[in-house]
Amino acid sequence: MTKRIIIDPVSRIEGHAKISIFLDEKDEVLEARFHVTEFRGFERFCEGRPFQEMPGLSARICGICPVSHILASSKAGDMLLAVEVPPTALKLRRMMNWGQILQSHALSFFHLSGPDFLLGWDSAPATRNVFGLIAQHPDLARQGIRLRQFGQEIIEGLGGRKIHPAWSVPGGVREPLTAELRDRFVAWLPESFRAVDHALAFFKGFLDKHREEIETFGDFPSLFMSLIQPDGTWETSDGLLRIGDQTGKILVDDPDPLNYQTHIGEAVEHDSYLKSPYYRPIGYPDGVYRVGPLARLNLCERMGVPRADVELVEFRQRAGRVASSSFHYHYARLIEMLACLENLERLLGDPDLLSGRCRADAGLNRLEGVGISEAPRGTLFHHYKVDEQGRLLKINLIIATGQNNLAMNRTVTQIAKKYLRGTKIPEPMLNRVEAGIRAFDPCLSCSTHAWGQMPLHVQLINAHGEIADEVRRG
Amino acid sequence: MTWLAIGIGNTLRSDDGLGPWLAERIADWRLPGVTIRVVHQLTPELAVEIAQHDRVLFLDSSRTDDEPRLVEVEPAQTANRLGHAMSPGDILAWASAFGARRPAWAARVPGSDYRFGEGLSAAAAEAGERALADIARLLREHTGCTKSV
Repeated sequence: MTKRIIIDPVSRIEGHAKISIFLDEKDEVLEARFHVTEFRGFERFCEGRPFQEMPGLSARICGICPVSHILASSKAGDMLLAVEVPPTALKLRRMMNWGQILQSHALSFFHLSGPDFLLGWDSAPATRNVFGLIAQHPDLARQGIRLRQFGQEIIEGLGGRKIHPAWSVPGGVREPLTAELRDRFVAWLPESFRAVDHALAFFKGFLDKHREEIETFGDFPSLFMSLIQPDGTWETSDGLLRIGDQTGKILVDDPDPLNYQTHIGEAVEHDSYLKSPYYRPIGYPDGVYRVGPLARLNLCERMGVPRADVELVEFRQRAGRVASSSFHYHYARLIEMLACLENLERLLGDPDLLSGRCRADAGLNRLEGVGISEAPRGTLFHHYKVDEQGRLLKINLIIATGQNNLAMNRTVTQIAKKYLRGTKIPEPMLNRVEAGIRAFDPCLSCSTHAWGQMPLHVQLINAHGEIADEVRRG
Repeated sequence: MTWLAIGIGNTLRSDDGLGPWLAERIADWRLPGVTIRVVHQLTPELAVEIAQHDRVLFLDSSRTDDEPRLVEVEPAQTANRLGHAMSPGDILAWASAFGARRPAWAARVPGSDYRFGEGLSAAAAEAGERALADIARLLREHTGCTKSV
């Protein structure tokens, strides 16, 4: 049966990233803003659906990080059922999330940002492409693809499909791991460790030569937010919500997900579909916080696995106890990939993974639930209110990319102030603005697909509100 | 001769589901040596699978074409690296990391309705049928398969 849901406006379903750089009377950079002109609508059109459908429905938000939505949604469902999720299911959900982080970070580091690191921001356009990358660093190119493939294999193996696996559900997961799958995952590990080792060695050598970019690509004090284990260990699935500042001071350590709105407000700007969450006690727009790999590393005391712990110590020696430059998101991604592999190696030896007791059954026992999970690019909130029949009355989703929105604005502003002179957009600035945004690995247009790609549109707007220059790329 | 046919699209966005629809129809033909994949969007690891086949066929909806088109695809020389979307040319470029430079085609079928909803519009379904005739000819020429499709 054909079903159709009409949502207005519908004319802007393709993802567009638009950057507006505002100049003052002296044509100097005042501020920059990053807009997303893509309408999503999931919070509205899922109203009225049974909450049990939400993991499957909300997975459609994204083709790159569907697992994040499935896990956060399942956790919100756990709370509505008021059940204790079986230990096997908790472990398997963690495993899928590590697979998800691996594949997403591999895409970001090797494929999206790799050409910047490996070929340089100002290298000749004729060679600053995939072929140039493959020609100069074929091993890294192949390893990156294989590493991402491993992450996808974990997701497909557990969930039955790579994208939108309807496997994690309120109360647990549908199926346990099989011994055959476990052995297949174990066999992938040595190659994956080699890929991350290679990338880490390469990136550390690169870091020493690019002090200017480190100091320009979003280097500013801010707050940071992530999940964390109660003992301070790095966390991606459970634990408590922590917010800390640039000095390392912990502002929030809250174990109750229902309290999130005490700490986080959401501002809406007229020119963007991307919301701008902020730290409520400070207010908007000064309550800037960052989420994602950098935040998770800044807030944790330890990674909890030996090799990643060694890397964390070196990371802090290079970047400081609380790293302030958004450029270090890349470095943090590599350490997180190592931690995911070590955690996988450890967990795959656990016989509990094969247990058939992986789902708690219950009826509706609460009318409000919040699920918080760490997506590859940051903390993800799913908040549901339901009626007595379990139909969704209100849905609020706080997406990681949105939470980095204010930080991305500051990053673009900082880059523009450094590289923009006059009223023309220079190529070096454009390259670096793109790279500055890529550091956050924003996820903008995954809910729809159409032939073509998301273009970048940069406008330079003078003090009179006139467009002084504009560039489209992509 | 082996083929990888990749249907691309989101079946919850009406005509954006043209790629998966075409892939399912081709799968029904049960042609020897033809592997079918359906994906929400193109992702880098498909490069590995492409390298394991002799020919590649991308199946997708198009917002810029008025008529169904079957075009040859070359590896992309540049890539937009801000978003997560990849083009067929991007994937072919990445496949070259594995030593593979495979002949590739893209069936681009015009869609008109990309609103939330399942199923194709009548115009998209009709265009899809016409595209299938071209695709059948292409596969027959290259596989030598005489099976009626």
